[in-house]
Amino acid sequence: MLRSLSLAALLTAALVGLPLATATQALAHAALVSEMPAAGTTVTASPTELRLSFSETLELSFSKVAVKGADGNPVMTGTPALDPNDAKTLIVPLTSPLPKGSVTIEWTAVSADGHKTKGSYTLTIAG
Amino acid sequence: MDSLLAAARFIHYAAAIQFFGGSVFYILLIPAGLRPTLLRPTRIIELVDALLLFLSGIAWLLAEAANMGDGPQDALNPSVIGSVLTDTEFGHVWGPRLALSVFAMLAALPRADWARWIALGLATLLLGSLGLVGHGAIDSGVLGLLNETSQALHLLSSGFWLGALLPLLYLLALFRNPERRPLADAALRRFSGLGHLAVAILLLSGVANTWFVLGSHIDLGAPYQQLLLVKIGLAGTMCLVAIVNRYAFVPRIPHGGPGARQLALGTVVEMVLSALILGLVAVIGMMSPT
Repeated sequence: MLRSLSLAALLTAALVGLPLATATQALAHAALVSEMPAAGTTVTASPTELRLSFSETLELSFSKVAVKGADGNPVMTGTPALDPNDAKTLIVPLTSPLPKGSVTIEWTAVSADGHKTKGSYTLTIAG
Repeated sequence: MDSLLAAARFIHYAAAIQFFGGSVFYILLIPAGLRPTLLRPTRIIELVDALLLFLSGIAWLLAEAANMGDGPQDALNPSVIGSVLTDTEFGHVWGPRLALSVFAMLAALPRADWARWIALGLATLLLGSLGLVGHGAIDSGVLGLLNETSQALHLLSSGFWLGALLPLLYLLALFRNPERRPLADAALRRFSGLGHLAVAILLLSGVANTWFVLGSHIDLGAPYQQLLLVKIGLAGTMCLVAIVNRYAFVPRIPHGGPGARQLALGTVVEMVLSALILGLVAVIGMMSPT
């Protein structure tokens, strides 16, 4: 009985250590599948909205997009919304035209299972 | 914050399973003649686990606020916590669950049998609704409903088995008293009979859940899938221990044989395996399946 109790104590200690050891491995859930205008492309005129399509349903309140011009200054955007026909697509209205040159779009997505993912891509505005 | 969430998840799953198992053991498994004897331990199980469900539920909510928001400072930010509760799928399940855990604490207080029935109802809702958050929430439509049903069945059948182990230890101690043996024996038979059904549901819903979450995305390089394999191995080991318990030890119980003591030891081994499995559940639910 004593031996089985010490075995139980040992396994319990291993168990308590386990979540601590592996918890940092929480990985990506919602991945960016496609975006409009597409990442890396050059567009001649500033688009009126950005569309980001993900692999999972999004939590709108916690999914964000930040846009920065080539000079690193943030660009004001409208409030993001979900595509009414597709809860996996985030639509960001652009209230003012994007500045010329390279534009960086940084996104944060929280999927319906509560996991957050982040990423960024660039566009070039010609003209 | 990830370690805190993993710890909260472990305690929450364990408490939900223990609460359900303790209530179901009292209502469905023991003959009426044993109820006065098991009333006190059952109420202690209910009260302690309802309290743990509430506290770990709060910790889980705060950890989600930090995860979904902008980091640890948002764990205590009222507007972020409010937004998690009102705007997210997690929050729509979590707010009612926190309220249910408060009712569960209250249900543990009265000594009357009707309170045990209410506790069992609350335990069923508290355990089953855990299938509505996390990976149970990733599909939508009919597929999503099937996924959530399968997750709930998996949780409830594991609650029946794993959660019954602690009251079972209490029951086995009664075999020392010859006057108690016939009633304890009847309860053990009922647990064994329904236990076979619970294990069958557990295994089938486990296969279904794996299919819902992974589908054809099998990649044994993914940490999630490696840990899931370890979990399946532990569950298989637990089934083997249960088979030894049922078919080697139970037949040695009659006439004051050594079976009751051996079965108690086998039950402790099952409890240790259960804790390891719940530790894995706490961690892999936070990981990306692929």
